[in-house]
Amino acid sequence: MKQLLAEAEELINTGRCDEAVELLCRQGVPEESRVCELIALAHHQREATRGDVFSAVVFAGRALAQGSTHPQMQKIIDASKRKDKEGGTHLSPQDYTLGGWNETREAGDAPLNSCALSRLNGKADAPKDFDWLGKNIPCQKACPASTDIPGYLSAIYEGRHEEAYHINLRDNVFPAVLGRVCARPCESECRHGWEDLGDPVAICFSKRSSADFKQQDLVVMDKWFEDSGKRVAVVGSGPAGLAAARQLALLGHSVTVYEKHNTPGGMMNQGIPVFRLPRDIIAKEIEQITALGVEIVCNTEIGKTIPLSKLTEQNDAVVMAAGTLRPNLLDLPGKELEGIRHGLDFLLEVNDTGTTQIGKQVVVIGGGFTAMDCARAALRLGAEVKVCYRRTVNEMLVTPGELEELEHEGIPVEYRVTPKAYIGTNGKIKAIQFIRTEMGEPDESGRRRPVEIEGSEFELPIDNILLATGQFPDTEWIDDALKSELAEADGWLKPEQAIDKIFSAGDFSTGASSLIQAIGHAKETARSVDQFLMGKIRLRDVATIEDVTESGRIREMDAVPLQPMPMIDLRKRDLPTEVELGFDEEASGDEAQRCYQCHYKYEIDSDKCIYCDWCVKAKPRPDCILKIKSLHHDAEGRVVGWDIAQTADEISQIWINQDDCIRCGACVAACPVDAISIQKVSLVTEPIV
Amino acid sequence: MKAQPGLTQVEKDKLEIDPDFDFREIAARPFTAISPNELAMFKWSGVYHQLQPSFFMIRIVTPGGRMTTRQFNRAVDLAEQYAQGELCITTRQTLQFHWIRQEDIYKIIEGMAEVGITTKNGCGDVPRNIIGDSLAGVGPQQVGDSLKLIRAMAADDEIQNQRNLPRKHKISVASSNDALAQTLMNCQGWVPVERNGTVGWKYHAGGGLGARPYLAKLIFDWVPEALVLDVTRAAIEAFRRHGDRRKRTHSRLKVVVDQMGAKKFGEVLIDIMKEKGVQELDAIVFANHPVPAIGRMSINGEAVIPQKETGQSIVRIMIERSELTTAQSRAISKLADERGGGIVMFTNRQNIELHDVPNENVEKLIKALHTTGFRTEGHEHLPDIVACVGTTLCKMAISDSPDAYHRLYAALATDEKYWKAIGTLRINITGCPNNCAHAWIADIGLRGTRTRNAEGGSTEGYSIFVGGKLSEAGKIAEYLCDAPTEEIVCAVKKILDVYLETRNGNDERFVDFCERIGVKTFQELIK
Repeated sequence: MKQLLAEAEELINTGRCDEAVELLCRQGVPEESRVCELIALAHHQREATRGDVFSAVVFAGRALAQGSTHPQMQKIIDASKRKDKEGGTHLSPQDYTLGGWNETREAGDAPLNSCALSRLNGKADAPKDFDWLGKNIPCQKACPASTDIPGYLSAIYEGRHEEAYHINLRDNVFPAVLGRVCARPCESECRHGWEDLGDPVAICFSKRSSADFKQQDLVVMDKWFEDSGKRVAVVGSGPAGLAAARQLALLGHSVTVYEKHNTPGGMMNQGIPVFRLPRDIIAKEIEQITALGVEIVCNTEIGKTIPLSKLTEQNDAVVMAAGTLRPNLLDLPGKELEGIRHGLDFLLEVNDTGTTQIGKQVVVIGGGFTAMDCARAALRLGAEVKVCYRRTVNEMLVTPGELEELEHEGIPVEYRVTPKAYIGTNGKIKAIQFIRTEMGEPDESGRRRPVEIEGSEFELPIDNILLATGQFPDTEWIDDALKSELAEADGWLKPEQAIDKIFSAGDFSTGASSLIQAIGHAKETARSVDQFLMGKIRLRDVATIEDVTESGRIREMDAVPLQPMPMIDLRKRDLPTEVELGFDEEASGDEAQRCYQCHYKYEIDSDKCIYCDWCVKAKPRPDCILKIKSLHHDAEGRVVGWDIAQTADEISQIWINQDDCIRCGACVAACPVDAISIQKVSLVTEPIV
Repeated sequence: MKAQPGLTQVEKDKLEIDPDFDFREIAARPFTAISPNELAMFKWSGVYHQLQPSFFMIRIVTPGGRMTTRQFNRAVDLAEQYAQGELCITTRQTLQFHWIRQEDIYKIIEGMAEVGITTKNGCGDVPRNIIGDSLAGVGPQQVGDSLKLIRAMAADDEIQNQRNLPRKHKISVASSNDALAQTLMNCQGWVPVERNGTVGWKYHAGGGLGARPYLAKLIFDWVPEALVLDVTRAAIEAFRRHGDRRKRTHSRLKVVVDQMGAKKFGEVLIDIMKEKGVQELDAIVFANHPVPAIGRMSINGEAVIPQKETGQSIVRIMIERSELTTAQSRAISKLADERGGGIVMFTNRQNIELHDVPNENVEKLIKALHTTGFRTEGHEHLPDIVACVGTTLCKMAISDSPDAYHRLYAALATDEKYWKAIGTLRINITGCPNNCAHAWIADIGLRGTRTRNAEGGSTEGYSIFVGGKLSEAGKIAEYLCDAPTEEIVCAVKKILDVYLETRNGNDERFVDFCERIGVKTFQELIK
């Protein structure tokens, strides 16, 4: 017993009060003076809650009744007594401005700096508002075109495919195209894919559903502004050129797009194989742009048919969106041998003519979108294909799911191999020599640099090599009068805009990237063009805030599994047949319901809140609702950190940490005083009137 | 497939965990080997894990709030041995033990079982302790025999073996048409009515407090006594069928009745009884109008109430903060045996009444009580404050309601002239929105809260509600103001002073005053 008491005392001294009490209780009902003393001291020391104070008093009283002479006991009892405040009292009802889900907010400034947004309702455009949108709707933030993903997913879930398509059309210009071939930077950011939360929502495939299940007539958007009388020429009818043209048309300008090829579409048409992207899909979405009055002039190569300088004279502004057509060819021994082709040329020919000459043994070098398309196209032309990449799967820049399809179609990938030399006879390639690599320090792109392993060279016999090793903008077509002003000596555009009426958009400006990146960039470019033409900013981004009574979600939706994309059978896979069949209508709804709807903001009114902490008890994640001592803000009023309260008196507010919130609504259901509001916050681009 | 609503964790636990634990086995288990889900299901046996780790609370079941001294003595003995010598009277007319060790739970359960008292259904999603009014069986206005019905319901398998209701279920049976039985805040409320010399029952349903209070509606004007049990069972079945198990905050019968309306709910009950083959349902008379008409409280501060049977009386003892030490309990028990009828009745204001006291003993009994330190004056007046355990023992609480009790009691209940001038007044202090201490239906209800303070933390306090009642159609108290804990005495005094100054003569009760002036004016007056 003596030893047990000493042990308990030691536990108390080291702050392990609960363990001390448990130990003391194990020996029997606490009765003896010393046991009661120690329990009193343990709870007194803990003193995190009024319950600790109370039990310290109870057991101090017991100890005294058992004859304790411990000086602390009476002190514990005396110290617990609360005193009435002297003087009067000011009695008034608690007032609050935020309120709960069943209350309507005025569109005034947010009253507390703990508020997530700068205003309570309506439109807000302070830095903290955009910061909220970026952090809370990570998919939209990740989308270069800022697509309102929760907005269209909820429309799909509710069966409003038409509206879902409109949202996409507004934001990313080519929903049906992107719904098939987008690089999907959004999906890797999706909250549903966070650790322990399952798989990201199939955002891209859902986008396709919106196109598949809407009415199939042309969708012609309403213009933001009346005709401006300004003329803009766009060089190149790829995704960037067309996106810029569409935006400029919506802004009221007269736009002509010049395309050297016989069909508009750029990389969509000439780069991406038909089996991933049927051509009627592209044509239809381009038609929706021409329906706005945009003129597309094909078979017209700027620099040959018309010089850029003339185009510049004839128009109020020019947008260069000529893409990246200068292939990066590897400078290896034997590079002059026949049978070495750049992947883009290969794809262009296949897409144009439906076939091309290709040998039996084909190696594709590269680890990006083009490599995947080359490999799968070559396979469909009867070749035995292998992809060789100098880094690992983690560094590949491919569309999610595409590697799996490669494997499914039986195309092997050899990782960590760098080509060293082409080997040929009679001027024709016969083999290629590689050396194995291991991954070193990250390079300037942030990807780990391959380091060659000495003595690991090997050869692969081949008939054809397809180089998917990148491509650069080509500025050769710019006539000399302008070239020195616009382009660098190495053929790239100058980083700063050199001539005030000549703009650039998409890959031509940024270097090779994805469709969605090009579209996002083109949208930005169009805004710059408009500002230049009109001498003022005519579009603005705002966060629109609307009251909502419930999100419509139930927790079980979180457990719905990722819907698989139905695909055609391997035996039926040929060049013209689309592999992915698209979700059926039911699956599209099933998938869309998985979205957490991150555009909903759950917020506690800390004046209406009674600090019962029932929401804290109901919370699904460790950090989604916090008992805050103080929030830290930056100069713009954004929350940048916090201190957690250790005692009840320290709690300045019970606060929903929206970064960690999965929009389950458990807190709203648990709140006994309806102090938690739900609001929908959306990023909207609107004309300034 | 569109996601279908599934079972919540509580609902799964109810299906997967047998609530009838072997507490001898639990005694031998390390605490860490008890899952949180099991711990939650202990409640079905009246056992709660207390706020203080290592300790448990046990609530027993005393239908109608009545105990013999033999039963009470056992509780006192067990409390002395295992519960730090302390018993607490609840607002549902029963007793709670605190500070029970995990190893001793079964000792309490078995010890009480030996004197015929169970802890089964002490808590959980079950029919809880069936209450009535403390005058049951003896009150001067008594109609019929409420105790007989309460006992029948407590013994009825079909009612009591409901271990998986959507939520808790509360039944009250009144001994007369008297707000004392709290008919309107129970899920089911029976009120006796006599017609042409026959006793039948008025049936109310859908009351309940909690965070979102509802007052019961009148369903049937007349249910023959022979059908009372059938209707009670049918209502539980209706609750099983229609209670919303998805949202615990909306799962009680009060929500079902509110959504269906009184008439529809009555029809549902009739249909269920038809399914079960219950006969003579035509004898049940539907209420024309769902608004209840409960009689005003018949008692108003009396220390002694003559019983219906001549020659005996009820003697009422006020128990400070509902807490009984072993010495106090033994003293009461001894007096109940020596001077009374060996019966102890727990009231819903957490006090004790001794029943069947021969009239000739009354004076001596009261003297003895006073000598022992008990007070018998002040019932239904300012000294008669109800409070839950608040943050002292409960995990849900926000405020230390016993502390507010003691300070209000010390400051205001001692001034006899003051509280007598005020007249009838019930102050109820509840530590959280669950409203165990019934702040919604008190003259002055305090509900625990915290408020952000200027120093960057928060301050414990109370939201103050006024004008609640359970008589006539009932009334949920209205929000008046907030006050920090350290100003609570001052705040209540100010409210009462305003009432004293502004009331319409000395006869206007606080509750009527509130109704007349309205809460907005009241808010102005106390500024």
